[in-house]
Amino acid sequence: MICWILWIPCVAGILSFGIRSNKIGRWILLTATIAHMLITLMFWIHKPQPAWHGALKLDSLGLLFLTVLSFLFLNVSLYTIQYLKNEPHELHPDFQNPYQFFKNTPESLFIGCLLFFLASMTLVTLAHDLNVLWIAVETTTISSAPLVYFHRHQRSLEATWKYLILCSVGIALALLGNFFIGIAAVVHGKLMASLSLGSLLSKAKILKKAWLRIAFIFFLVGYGTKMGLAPMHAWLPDAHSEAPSMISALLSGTLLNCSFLALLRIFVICEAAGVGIFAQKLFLIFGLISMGVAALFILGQKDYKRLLAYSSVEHMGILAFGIGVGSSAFFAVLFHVVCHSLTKAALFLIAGNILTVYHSKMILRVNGLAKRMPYSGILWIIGFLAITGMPPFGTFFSEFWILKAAVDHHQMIGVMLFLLFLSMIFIGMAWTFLNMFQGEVFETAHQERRWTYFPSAILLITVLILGLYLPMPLSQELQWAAHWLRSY
Amino acid sequence: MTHLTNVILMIICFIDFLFLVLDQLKAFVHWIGIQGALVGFLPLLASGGHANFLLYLIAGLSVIIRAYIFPYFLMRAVQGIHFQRETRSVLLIFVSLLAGIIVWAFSLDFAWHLPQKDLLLPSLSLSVGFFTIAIGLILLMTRRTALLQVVGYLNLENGIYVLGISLDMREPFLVEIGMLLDLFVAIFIMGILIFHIHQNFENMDTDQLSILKDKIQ
Repeated sequence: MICWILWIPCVAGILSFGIRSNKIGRWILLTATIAHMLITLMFWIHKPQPAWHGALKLDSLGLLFLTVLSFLFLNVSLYTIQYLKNEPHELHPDFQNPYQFFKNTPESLFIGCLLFFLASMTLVTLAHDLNVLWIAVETTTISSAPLVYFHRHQRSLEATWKYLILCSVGIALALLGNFFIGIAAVVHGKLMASLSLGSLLSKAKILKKAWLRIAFIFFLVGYGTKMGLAPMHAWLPDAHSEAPSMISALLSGTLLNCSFLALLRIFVICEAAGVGIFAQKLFLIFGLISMGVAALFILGQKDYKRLLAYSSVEHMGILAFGIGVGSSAFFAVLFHVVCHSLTKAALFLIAGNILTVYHSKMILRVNGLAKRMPYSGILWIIGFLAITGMPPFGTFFSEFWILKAAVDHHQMIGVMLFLLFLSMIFIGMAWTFLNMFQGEVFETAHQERRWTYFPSAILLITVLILGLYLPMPLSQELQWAAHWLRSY
Repeated sequence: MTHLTNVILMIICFIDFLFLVLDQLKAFVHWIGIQGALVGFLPLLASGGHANFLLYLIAGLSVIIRAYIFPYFLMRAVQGIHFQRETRSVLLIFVSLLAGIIVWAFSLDFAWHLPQKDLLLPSLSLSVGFFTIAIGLILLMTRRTALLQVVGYLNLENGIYVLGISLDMREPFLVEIGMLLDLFVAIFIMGILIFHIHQNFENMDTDQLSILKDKIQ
């Protein structure tokens, strides 16, 4: 059963590479994502048996990330299908530079890569072996690079190049981390047969701490690059701003989470081996640096897609900070993963709508959203409230709990910096979002079609509901996952 | 066997030094192919004649991909490019050679600190692995041409591979294949991107990839 959820998107991806008809390709995408969602729901009722000699296993933590992935992907693919229908197939001018013409990537290739992207991220959530985990994360980079390069103009080429080179090098360093864990596990001069999570955790007490520390640094730099932790985040704003909006939504909402999950797996090993404090310190520092960098770049940002990208850097910082704070924040961190993914994806999808109507990513060129695009405008403001952590959205509670845990652990400097950065970001974002929302417009209201705002509305409503009422099964899985993180 | 292995390791190391002074783009592609072939053979030497079928298969695939297919992709990508060399000042070449020597000393030192029991390859291989990784990173950071960045990345990967073999990181067959496949697709996509960079801009300088920037206000 556990393999099915991998094979379905893979087979669908291969099929759509081969099929030239765009219409059939879109149907394949929709069918595969619905099937993926259904299997994920089945996993909630009944957890599947491990496969590949235990290298694939679904635990509570994996299930949580898998569900976010599946739910987001379904919403995004609903958007994508309509988006692709409205994209021109021939050469068309670049609206930022009208003298330049470009073509899109062929749709069959795009949908195929999208499905492989889904499969590789699913593999990340299932992997219980450090080597398999590494392969899965590397595959997410490769399969998403062509997606970023969908609009084949110079800017997206630049973004894709940076993304591919930086993340590939980062992941190569993470492989060194794997080797060092291998060295740490040398017992009586013999290396361990496999780097499976189970065997590493059971032998954690005899792992050599010095090597494990070095390994963790490599992992943090390697997977941290992919997660967008500052100062390794250089690829992130470029890739997010130049990719088509639904891909930005997936990058922010799911890809960053996958790397975070990889880091969590490593963190548990460190904790079990007794170097958890060291790992947490590093998480805390990188988290605060990320939030600080994001705050500096959000204030006075001119491009609203880049603004959202920096907001992702900020939220990854919050997650790292939360892990660094201590075990009482783990539940909140996992809850924050869920809420941030849904909110950020919704915002990116709306940013895509705004871009197609206003033909500009400049904040100052966009005003009067309230009148010109009423639905997207309202959702834009709701999204703003959710992403800055206003009550009663889920993000408010997760950020509040993380802060409370930090106070409980007497991390006073951390708390102060956390609040300072959050308020700077709030000011920067409030200025941007309200400026875009208000203002006079002379054009008539744009006829918004339902598919453009429906997926974002669903995502934002979910975040709202999660803030008001946390369903029993979800809170239970969150508890178990948080328990797994601190049980070693 | 050890003798042959040492010779191969020294050649790999020599190629690393070459990368610091070369400026002809084609030469880079040739030498990275040769380095790839040597690296691909190492697991067979490490097994000490006890190689089984799967090991032969992995080594064969690895040699074919690293020595033939990657150079082929890269050559295709740079076909018809007028600008054939990346010129650098003599001082810069001197400085990078000096950096190379220092890094070499560091990697010799570093390899001594690793647990060395039951190593399959002579301990020289650890130093060569680290050195190759470091040279890859130096290429990635100092070179401006897109092609040379890919060569740097391949160099980094080769170094990691050497290190993996010398630490006896014997992965299961499928994991090895998965890693090779990932590398293959990554280089394939990089080749396509180089081609597009060349088509979109005058040459392959990644300096031109600087439209996207942010300033702190």
